[in-house]
Amino acid sequence: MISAEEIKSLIERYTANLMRAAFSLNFDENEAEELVQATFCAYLEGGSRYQKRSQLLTYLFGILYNKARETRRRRDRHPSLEAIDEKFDSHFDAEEHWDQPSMDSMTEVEKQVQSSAIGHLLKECLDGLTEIMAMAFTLKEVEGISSSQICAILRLTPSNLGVTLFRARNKLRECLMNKGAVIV
Amino acid sequence: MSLLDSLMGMTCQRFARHVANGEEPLGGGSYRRLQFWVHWTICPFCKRYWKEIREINRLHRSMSALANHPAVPLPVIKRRLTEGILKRYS
Repeated sequence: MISAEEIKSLIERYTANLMRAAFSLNFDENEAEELVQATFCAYLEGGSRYQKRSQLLTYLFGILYNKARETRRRRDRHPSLEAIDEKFDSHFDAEEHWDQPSMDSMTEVEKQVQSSAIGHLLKECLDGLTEIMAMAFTLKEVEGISSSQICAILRLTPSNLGVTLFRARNKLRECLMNKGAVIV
Repeated sequence: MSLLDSLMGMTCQRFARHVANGEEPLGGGSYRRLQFWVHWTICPFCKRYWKEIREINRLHRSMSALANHPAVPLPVIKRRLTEGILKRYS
């Protein structure tokens, strides 16, 4: 049985990481808090399943991811993953060179105006990622979790993780471009 | 095929796939890496794509850092979580 002090310490130590992950999956503040609470509860109820081979944070990310999937599966639908790959391939000609070169450069003033809005657009675009894409991208870029640990959390092979990140980044890029954002 | 042709043997699509994937090694060792960076130097479109992907990564990190400052302060969230969980398991 875990003591009250241990519960407090657990919450103190891991809430920020879990809230960040929940936000990246585009849950609002209330939903994120509920998701984090459900994650802690699931850990406390099934703590005996935790094996100290992995870090506790990694284990908690795994629980949060599964809880998030359950929630999002009920409310979201996503276009097929093949569509992202097709869209990526459509940018290249038969010689594998860019068919439609990217956007024009911006002036410094335009960049400043743009940068204030682009974060907002990125948040909207993150909502278009599947939960596995958003989670993999966040664990990699924000939490700095190693690829092997991400594979363990998301139950992916290293090759599948590469494909997932490839799709996440290209989907975000396409989405930002479709919204008229000039990224650099 | 001259050495120069060989060094420029990487296609834009292969370059872009490697940039966005980021996990799988290019294969072919240091010569392939040299091809990658030669291509980066000579192809403005790929250089732009490379910058865009890096910027998307950076933006995501910045946006996530903002999540450290939710409308409800983190200590309040922690307190609520602690109260709720202790109530449930006491």
